[in-house]
Amino acid sequence: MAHEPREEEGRQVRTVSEVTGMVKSVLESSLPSLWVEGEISNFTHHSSGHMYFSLKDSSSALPSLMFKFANQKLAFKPGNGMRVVAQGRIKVYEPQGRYQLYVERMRPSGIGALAQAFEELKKRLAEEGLFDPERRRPLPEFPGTVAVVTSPTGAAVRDVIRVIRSRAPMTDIVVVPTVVQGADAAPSIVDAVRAIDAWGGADVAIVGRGGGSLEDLWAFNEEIVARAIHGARTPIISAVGHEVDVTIADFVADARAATPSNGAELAVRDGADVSRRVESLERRVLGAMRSRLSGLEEQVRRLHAAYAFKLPREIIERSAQRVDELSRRAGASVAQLVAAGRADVARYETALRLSDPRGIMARGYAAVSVLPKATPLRSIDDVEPGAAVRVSVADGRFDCEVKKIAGTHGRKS
Amino acid sequence: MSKKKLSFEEELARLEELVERLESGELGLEDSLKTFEEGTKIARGLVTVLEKAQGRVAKLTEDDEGDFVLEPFEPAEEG
Repeated sequence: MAHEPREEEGRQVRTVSEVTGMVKSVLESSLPSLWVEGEISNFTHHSSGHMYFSLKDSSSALPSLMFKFANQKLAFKPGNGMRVVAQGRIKVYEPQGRYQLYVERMRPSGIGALAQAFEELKKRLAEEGLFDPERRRPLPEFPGTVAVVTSPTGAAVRDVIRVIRSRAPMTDIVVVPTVVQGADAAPSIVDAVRAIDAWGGADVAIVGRGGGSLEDLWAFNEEIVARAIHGARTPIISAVGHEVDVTIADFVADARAATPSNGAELAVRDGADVSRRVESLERRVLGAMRSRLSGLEEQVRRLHAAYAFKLPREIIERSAQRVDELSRRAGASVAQLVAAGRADVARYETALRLSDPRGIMARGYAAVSVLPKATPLRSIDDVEPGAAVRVSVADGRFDCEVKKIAGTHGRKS
Repeated sequence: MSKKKLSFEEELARLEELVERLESGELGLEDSLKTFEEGTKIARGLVTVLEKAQGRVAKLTEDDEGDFVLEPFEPAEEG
């Protein structure tokens, strides 16, 4: 109190301001933020933008007001006779000595009114561009961490965990415990979405809950939730209720799931599909290596045929099939596969070196072919006296005529 | 926490790139072998992650100082 109480006839006399102040202090400190249900009456929307009205029921009335900054966010147009649920604080307006409810949020009560509010908010947000498909972010292909914004005790969280576990067991799941029903649900969901962004560890978030009545699901139709989802940096999958339930959250989210389980399916790919893709890629790696090696084998064969030099036959015949055989065995390690590949390459390189005739010719050997077709000469049976033959040496060739033929043991067969 | 799986995505993309390079037939022998080795190693690694890795289930909360805390989370039994 600003000054000492005055005494008169032994009684304490207070000023009006003192009394009002005492009432104010008692009232405002003992009444936390309230949710009040009632019918609107004496409604005026003042030119200042503020709304003044009473909330009443059969026996009482509660003077109420809603400031412009708060009523701009209303999802519906209030009017006399409308049943509403309002949230606010009781405060004392000192100049008139009356208490009133300062409404912060308000929504219609009852199914018809809710449906109307839904349509109005949907229309307004759509006009604002919040539902534009082009602002939807793509979901990550392989999220390492999926955040789940829902009740930690509901069926939804169990469903989501079960589906993710069975499809993509390596995925980390982070549950962000949230109130999903009643007056506290909307701010709780907003906080959770913001917390995920602030934490920054989730690649995608599923926001939702299991089925319920329109009123149960109402938080997902609140503007603050829509704006939080719209503003989130983390891609959001909306997964509310059953297939038939459509919420404002569904329109603003990056993806809409029919149910929480479906949300989990949208969040992670089926591991079996991914396995098949990886296995197919591995087969292609092996296939490409094998064809590279058969190309090498073919090269060796061609050189061999062209020059008719004798090659160790087994070198050619140990082909790249080794790589395939090894890979077919489940236990083959990368090291074994690569060792097999290397061994084959080494064999081919040896074969190529051996089949290159220049090295041999340089040591004084010559290659002889029978003209006119330059058929490789392998045996004395390939020529007759008088035949024309071509002799190739390291630095060139010359053509000759066969004069005399003798077998290794001096006998022409 | 999400690092491990982003790298899954990157590794898969790398594997696809290696397969295409190997299949193009433009690599020399030594490069083919190296590509083959890396590709096979990545493929085996990915399969291991898919088959064996088990992700965590945690609960995200904020402590009094506003820091984020991850605690193990076990969903309540059906009932």
